[in-house]
Amino acid sequence: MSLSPAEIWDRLRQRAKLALPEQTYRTWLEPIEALEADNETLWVGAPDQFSADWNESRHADLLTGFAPVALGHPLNVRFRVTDERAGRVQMDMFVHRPTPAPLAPPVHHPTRTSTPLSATYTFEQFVIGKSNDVAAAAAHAASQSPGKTYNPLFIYGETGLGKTHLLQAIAHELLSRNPSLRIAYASSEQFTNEFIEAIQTKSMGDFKRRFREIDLLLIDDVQFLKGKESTQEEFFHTFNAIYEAERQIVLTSDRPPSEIAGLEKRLVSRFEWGMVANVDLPDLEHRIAILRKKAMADHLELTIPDEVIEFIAQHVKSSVRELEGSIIKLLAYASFKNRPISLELAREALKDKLKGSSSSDYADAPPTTITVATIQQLVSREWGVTSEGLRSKTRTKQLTVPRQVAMYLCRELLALQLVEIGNAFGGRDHSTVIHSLERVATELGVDETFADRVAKLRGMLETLRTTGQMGV
Amino acid sequence: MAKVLRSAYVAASLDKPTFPATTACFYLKDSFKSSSRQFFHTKGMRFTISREKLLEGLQAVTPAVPAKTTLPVLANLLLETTERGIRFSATDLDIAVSTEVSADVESAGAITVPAKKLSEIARELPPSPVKIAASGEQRVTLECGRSRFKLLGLPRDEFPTFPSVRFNESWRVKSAELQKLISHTSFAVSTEESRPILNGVLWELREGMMRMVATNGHRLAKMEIAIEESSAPQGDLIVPPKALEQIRRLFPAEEDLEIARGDNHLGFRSPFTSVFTRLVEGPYPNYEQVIPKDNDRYCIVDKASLTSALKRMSVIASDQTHRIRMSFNSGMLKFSVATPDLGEAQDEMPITYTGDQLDIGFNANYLLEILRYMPTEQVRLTFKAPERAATVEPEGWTDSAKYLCLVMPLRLMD
Repeated sequence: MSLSPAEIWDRLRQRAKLALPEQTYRTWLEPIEALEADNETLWVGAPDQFSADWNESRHADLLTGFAPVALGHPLNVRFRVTDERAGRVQMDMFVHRPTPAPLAPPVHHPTRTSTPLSATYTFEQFVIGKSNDVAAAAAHAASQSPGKTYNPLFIYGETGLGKTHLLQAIAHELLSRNPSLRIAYASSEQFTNEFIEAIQTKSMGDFKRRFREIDLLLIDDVQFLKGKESTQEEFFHTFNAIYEAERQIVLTSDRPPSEIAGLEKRLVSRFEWGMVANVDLPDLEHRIAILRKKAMADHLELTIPDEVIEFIAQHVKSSVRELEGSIIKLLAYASFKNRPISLELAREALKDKLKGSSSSDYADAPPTTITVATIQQLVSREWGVTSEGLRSKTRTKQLTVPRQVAMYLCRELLALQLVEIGNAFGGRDHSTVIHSLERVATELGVDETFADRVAKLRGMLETLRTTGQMGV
Repeated sequence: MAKVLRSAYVAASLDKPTFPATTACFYLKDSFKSSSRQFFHTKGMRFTISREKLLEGLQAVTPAVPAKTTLPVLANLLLETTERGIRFSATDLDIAVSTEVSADVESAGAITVPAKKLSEIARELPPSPVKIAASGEQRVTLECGRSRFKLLGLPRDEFPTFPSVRFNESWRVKSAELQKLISHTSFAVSTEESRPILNGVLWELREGMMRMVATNGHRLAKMEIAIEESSAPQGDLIVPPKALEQIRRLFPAEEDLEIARGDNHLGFRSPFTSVFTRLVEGPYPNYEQVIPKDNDRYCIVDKASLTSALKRMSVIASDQTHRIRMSFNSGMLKFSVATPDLGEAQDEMPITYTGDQLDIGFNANYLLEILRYMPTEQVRLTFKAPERAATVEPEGWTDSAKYLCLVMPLRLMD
């Protein structure tokens, strides 16, 4: 569970509010905002040195003391003058200009505000087979000599086949060699949102720094750039800046560049400059290998017999994500029934998939038998709330989390428009939906239990999609 | 003094305790309430007041009525009968103002009435005696000549009590001295919500001296005045400028004010009027540290010429920064301003300055504001370097007070 700096500050501040005289709280803590937080320290911004010093000497220890109770883990609270204040042209007698050589070397946060990298998406965890060996080799080459061999590297393929895995593996590989490497990793949608925000808040300078002054640019799902003209324009310049600086660019998409409708010609041609590699559906042996790897990674190699793995590999063919989802489902089923994992149990647990594959091949199955309603139903069941609750105006934590997950799944699986999703969830604004999607995406990267829960649902829904049957 | 009807005296003395002289009656509501509530319900307060006295009371307290409030009763004034007439009170919870004016009280009581409406009515009334009466807890009738009004008030119980300030350890200050300090410093306070300390004026009480300081971090004003032997406790108070403004406005210069301090509050009073204010909890930043002691360049300039040159330059200055460049040269001060998308301007004026050329950027508004409060025709500017604080002081001031303003430069980009 990871909280934003503002949320951490809010929790600590609420406690301080009860502990300090009201006047003191109102004067010293209420007007100021959190700046940033890492695992050890929360930095809180002060308008001037005087206020920072006073808070540091009077309230820092108190607030630090609240951390274990309010957050569940220790955290230091420190105060400093916001950079923005120190940089203003109007000099302030109580704000000192930042010294040119700061005491501590600047810490690079490679992913900063972008989606954090998933720890499991490394080359070691990637199972290479006939369907993806070219893409894997290209990715590996790009990570060995970034900006030289294949630039840009463009990986395309259906959802759930490992594009994002390869993308992040490159980042992991490069980071392991140089931890201070500057990386910008974002989905194209995130790129668009940040671009729009930069226009609105007139902070194009920051935006350009964030995406141009970097060593590695990773953009996921570039197909979502289609039809967004100004974003494409900005992306074009970003691309050129990085390309000319001989920095590595890696892009993923669900289809090759030339087939992305609504993408400017000059972008298409640039995307094709370097290496375009495809990831395809894995064959049977490959699927078995993937399942074995997954079982190893989860320390399940002893609990899942080989015959069960082969059984799943034979019947689940649509994507790697679905393969992994099947294991999750099988495990859930086993623990629910309190029985050891056997071929018989697997047959029972995955009978919907069997039915699907026996009656018709997955490719011919109706592509979207799942609807918003099914997603809402499954998610609400998983979180123990009602579908009506998800569509209601209520904003209690019990409801917001499943609601956000359901929105996320609607976006991911049904590729619905933001407005459509908003409408399906009690007429919410599209910006609320954007926020929810971002929220879930962030949580997925940081909270494993949460990620597993969402992956399980996703697995169930994808199974449903291929078979047209309701799972479990 | 108040012309009070004999019958009113009787009613008042029968139904209402007299107020101890050491405490502002405004805060004694509780004791007042308990003994007289029964009375209000049965009879209701009734008094006659001249239109002038009504306006006097209203003008004194309505500026303390908050423009916007979540607590409806704060938009009302509290009217209470006293031995001498009527006490008008208003508060926004940060400050409270009350004043007493003479009236003929027929029966004692208290009620709250909408401040804005009562003021509007009072302004338009003919110059005849105004009869005001409360019926029940919420209704007020007002009669003047042939005009009649019925207003909906709110029960006096809803009007907030202000924390008490006891005047038994009070001290006295000349109103004129306080006015002088306030009018020369309080303009410089910060209005930034994130800097609540700087939202107040620092009032330092020292042996034989008192001083006020205000700053928003970019410019600062400081004045100190020698005072006679006084019983004032030494210490620092941080007072909201809004309260100081009321104090400056309400108490005539020739009056002596009685001042007392509560836990987090400060009270000022004269025989008829009192102002209470919340204090800002300190400490105040160490401003002495930022006042330059080693400014080795200075010049004397004519305030009027400098003001008009700055006004001309500020026409072309950026709306955000108001940045102008001042170049001090031997015998000549040159001004220049260049704002992209707008244009440029130059100006110059002769000054007495010797030394190397010094180019420095300023927010023209800050300088203009400071010049407005400078009490002399000539002012003395001192500098050290382009990124160091500059000071402005009156030149040839015969007053015993010491006045100094400080302004931080704007960084010059080029």
